[in-house]
Amino acid sequence: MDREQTVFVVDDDEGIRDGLGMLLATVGQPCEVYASATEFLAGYDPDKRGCLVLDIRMPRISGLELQEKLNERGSDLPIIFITGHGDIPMAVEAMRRGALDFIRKPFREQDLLDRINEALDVELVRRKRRIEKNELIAKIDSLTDRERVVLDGVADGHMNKVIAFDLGISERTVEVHRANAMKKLGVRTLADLIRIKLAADELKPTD
Amino acid sequence: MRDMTPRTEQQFTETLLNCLPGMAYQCENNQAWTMLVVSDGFESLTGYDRKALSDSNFSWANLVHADDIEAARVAVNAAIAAGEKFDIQYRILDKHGQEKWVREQGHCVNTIDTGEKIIEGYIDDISPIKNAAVRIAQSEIRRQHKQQAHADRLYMLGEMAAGMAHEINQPLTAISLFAQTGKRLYESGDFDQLQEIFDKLSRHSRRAGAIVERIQSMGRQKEGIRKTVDLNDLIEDAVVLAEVDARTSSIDIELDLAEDLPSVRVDVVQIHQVVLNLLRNGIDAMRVPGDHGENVISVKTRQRDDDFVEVAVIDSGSGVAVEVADQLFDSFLSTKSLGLGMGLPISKAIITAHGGQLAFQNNANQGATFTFTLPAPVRKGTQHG
Repeated sequence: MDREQTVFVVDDDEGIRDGLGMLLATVGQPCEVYASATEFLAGYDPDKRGCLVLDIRMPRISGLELQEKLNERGSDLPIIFITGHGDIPMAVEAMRRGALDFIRKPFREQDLLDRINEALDVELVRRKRRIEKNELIAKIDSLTDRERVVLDGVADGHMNKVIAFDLGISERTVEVHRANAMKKLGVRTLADLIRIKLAADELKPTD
Repeated sequence: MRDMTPRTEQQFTETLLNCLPGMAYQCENNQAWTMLVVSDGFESLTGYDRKALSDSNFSWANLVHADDIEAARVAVNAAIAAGEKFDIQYRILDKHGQEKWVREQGHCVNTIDTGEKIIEGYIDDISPIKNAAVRIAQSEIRRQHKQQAHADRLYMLGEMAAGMAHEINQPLTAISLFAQTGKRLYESGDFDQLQEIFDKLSRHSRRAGAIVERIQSMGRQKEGIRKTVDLNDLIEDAVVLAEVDARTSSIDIELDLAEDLPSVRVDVVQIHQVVLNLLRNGIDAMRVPGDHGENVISVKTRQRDDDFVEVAVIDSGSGVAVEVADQLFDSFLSTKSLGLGMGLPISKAIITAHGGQLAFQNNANQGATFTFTLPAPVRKGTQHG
């Protein structure tokens, strides 16, 4: 298991909280336990990585409401809900809102550990994607306006001289911009350039 | 010795008619239904002496119940117009003002001498049959009420059972976690924490046991037995049962219980039922999507100046709509898809039977307050029941 990943347990029942904490400690999984959603949110740090194990029924702020608050904050921590008898409609709602999984009380500890491992794997992938995305955004941001316009022309399949004509600059200048842009984006071939351009375009609407 | 005097047919008919339990008659076909001839049954049916008939003010129509005369007239006139017999039932008031149900069968004939239209027929007292029918209907209504109360209680018990199942599941889940963790520790040869694990196992087993105990003690409470109890204790017990429901809806139940309240003499099960019912209604009202301000239901107790204690359940839910407010305590009024609509009528009946009152009002800002009172004339400390 990734040592940087923490399992955050939020459950208002002292016994279950304690039991989960001991179980995770026994398997060497770092974990933090919280008695309420409010307590968890107070210590919430978006840079903390791992997954959430959340009781669906809690006083004041329920598990579902905490999920919603985290969604609002753009958190992508995978959530496993702990549900009880008759909570299926709530569990369905939780899944609809993006929960990774749910597990019914009482459960086999291995089932929960398996799901936690799965959630941590999911979180690793999500984190990797997020890092790549941030890097890409940083690279695109480092381009000058002129370089970006040239890049757009190249991606649209225009010849250098056409781009030069459109922009009213020399073909030689277009070549310089194009070379600089490729260097900044860390690509060597036209195919790579187009690939990264497409990925960047996809990011735009969400930013 | 037999009376061997030869008898005319008319004498025979007269004897026969006078032996009938009811009253055979001939009357004029007028508004008053003036009696021309009646058999002896007239006296026992109406309580009047036969001589009353000679009074020109006496009319059969006057004996008929005011609510029934119109329908009787319509039926008789319709039969006469159609040339048919009539067979009707209506009420009369006898000489002593006693109401009797009668059945009248008759038809219209022309007299031999003048050819005038008169009515002939027979009127019988059917009060015993009618009264029996009414008694059966009343007992049927009582039975239905009882059944509804029972159904309501079963429904509530079902809800409570679901809540209890959840409550018991909590320590069981903890126990299961500790047991499985303990096994892992044992297998890995790490015995240091096992002592702690065993302590926790035993603690949470006792917790589960305590919950079962509580359910059992509730089940042991017999309905129909009044006991002198502390009202606040009673409220606290009922609130525990509603808490599971409240938690699911992320609602807090807040208690504001006055100190030194006098004891009340009540049927504990029934008052539990009322408190639970009011709390559940409040929770349901707050479950309706919308802004509820704080998600809190408060339960307040206080001593009133008039030898009554008062319990108020205050929610911040949707309140009571004006259009249903009047019928709020009527049976089968439910705005909930699952409700039987019996909760409030039963609660009201219970409180009334205890000599108290159940009332409600919408709060100024939001939600509604349901208040019930219970007689509590005895001061705490001065007497214990």
